[in-house]
Amino acid sequence: MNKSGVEKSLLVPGADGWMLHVPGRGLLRSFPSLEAAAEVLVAGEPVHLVVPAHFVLIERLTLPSTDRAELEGMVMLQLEKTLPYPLDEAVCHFEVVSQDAQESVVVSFAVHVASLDALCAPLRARGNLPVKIFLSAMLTASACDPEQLTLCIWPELGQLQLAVCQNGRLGALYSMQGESSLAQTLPQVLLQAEMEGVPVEFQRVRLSRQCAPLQVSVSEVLACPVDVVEEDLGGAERVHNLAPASWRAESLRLEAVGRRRHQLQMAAVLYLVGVAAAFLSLAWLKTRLNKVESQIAGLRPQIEGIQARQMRWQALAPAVCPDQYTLEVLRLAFSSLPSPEVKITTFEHGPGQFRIEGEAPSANLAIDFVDRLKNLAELGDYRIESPPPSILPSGSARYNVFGKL
Amino acid sequence: MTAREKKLAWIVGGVLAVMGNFMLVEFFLKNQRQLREDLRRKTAQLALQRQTLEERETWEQRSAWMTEHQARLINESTSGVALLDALKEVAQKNSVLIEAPAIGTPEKRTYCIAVPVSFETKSSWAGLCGFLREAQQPEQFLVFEKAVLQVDPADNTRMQATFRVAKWFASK
Repeated sequence: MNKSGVEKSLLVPGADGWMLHVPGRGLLRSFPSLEAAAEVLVAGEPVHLVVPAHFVLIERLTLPSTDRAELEGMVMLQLEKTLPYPLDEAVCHFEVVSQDAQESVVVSFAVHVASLDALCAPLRARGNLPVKIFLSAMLTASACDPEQLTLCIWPELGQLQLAVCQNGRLGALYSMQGESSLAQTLPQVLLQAEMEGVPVEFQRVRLSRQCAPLQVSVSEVLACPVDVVEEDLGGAERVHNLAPASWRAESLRLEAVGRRRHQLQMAAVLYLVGVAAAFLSLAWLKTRLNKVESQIAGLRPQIEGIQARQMRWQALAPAVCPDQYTLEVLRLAFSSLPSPEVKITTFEHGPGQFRIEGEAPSANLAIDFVDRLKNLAELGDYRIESPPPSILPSGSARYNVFGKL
Repeated sequence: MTAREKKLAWIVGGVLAVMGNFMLVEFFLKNQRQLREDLRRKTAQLALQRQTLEERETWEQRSAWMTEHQARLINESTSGVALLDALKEVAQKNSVLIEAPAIGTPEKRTYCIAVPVSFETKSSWAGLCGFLREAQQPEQFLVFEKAVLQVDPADNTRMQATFRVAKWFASK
């Protein structure tokens, strides 16, 4: 699992070719070359890459016991002397395998960037940037019991790899040609290791599944338990990344671009959902409107019949509605007089309208009469208007009231 | 594409996207507003129609009553005379003096045929009220199309009036 919590496809050198491990799908078939394996990857997808052992220069060093910063300086000094290429053209790393009061045993790793470029060219050409690069041996050592000195054996691109795992770290790595001569070659390798100061009193041997036929011959050479184990490709986060810093920066940039693209895609999806919802709401409104319109259309013939009757009734109302009769309007006018002193001198009436003219002792009484007429519920359907009363020379007021339906 | 071209493309794309969105939002809001307004108006219309439907029986009864009671004009030439005679009778009964009677020409209107007569009256206040009450009854379909009532200037205790009265016959 990487930092973002998303597992990436892992390319591993197998016994005779390259194996592709896809998260959730396990190991796919073997590919004859890295180019062939790259073709099945999704273009642009970042990957993890296990480099073949011969790409990495591994050196076991015995240095004075000191802190890690000083050890780093010493290791770099040593690598500067021994590397066949300038130090700034390599990715270097070291691990402290053991340390006591007098000395520190460290294993340095150096990989030439140009070699990595050449190896990863097919991947990078398709945009599959290797964001993490490490050795199988580093992964294998990290999976071993740190309390036990373990020898791990597995095949890699036609060779056998022998890793001495000490304190859960890679103590030394040896490559052997072919499996058939292991019984003869293993003692020589062990002797060479012993001469280099590598401990060989193994407490356990771990053989990969592909090397199971060697179990008996290894048991004959080494007097310790020999286990056949499945290759465990998990735990890449436990081992150091040998990818060049520029690649890591590029991978971070690509990840950021990927995240931004994902966010943009999400935003686009949300936007489209919003637009779709908006148009669905319009369609829903339109459907409701159509439904109401069809109901209106269905009722229209009945309504038109009723409206025709209403219009006829209203047109004939002056003849059939007593509240529109001349006498009734006259009665209402007289009942609204505020005082017997207020007189009606002329009363005109016709269908839907009336006019009253009269005199009152004062303008206030005339206005009061008009207000009473306006507030009369029976004349509520009439729009009643009255200009201000005119004052006569005698001091009395002349008023006019108009009412219309 | 160079960085400058990319930047320019982003700016152009952004402006187009903003304009497109603006048009889309405007289109949506305009249509939504219109549809909501239409829906509100039509729903109110439907409610009014339903209310009108509830009153259907009343209007049918009224229509039936009018059809039953409104007289049909049989003879145009005699109907005015008959109306005036009837009014004279009511006036006499209420001690109302009719002057200057005139018979008008029947008029075809949308919902009726009006046969008008016009005249002037002189009477007491009580007599005039009695005349008005008896002359205009619902089943008679009689309308005072013009009624001008005044206190008689010569005698404040009496009333003088000018009337144009029409009987509304059913349309043929």
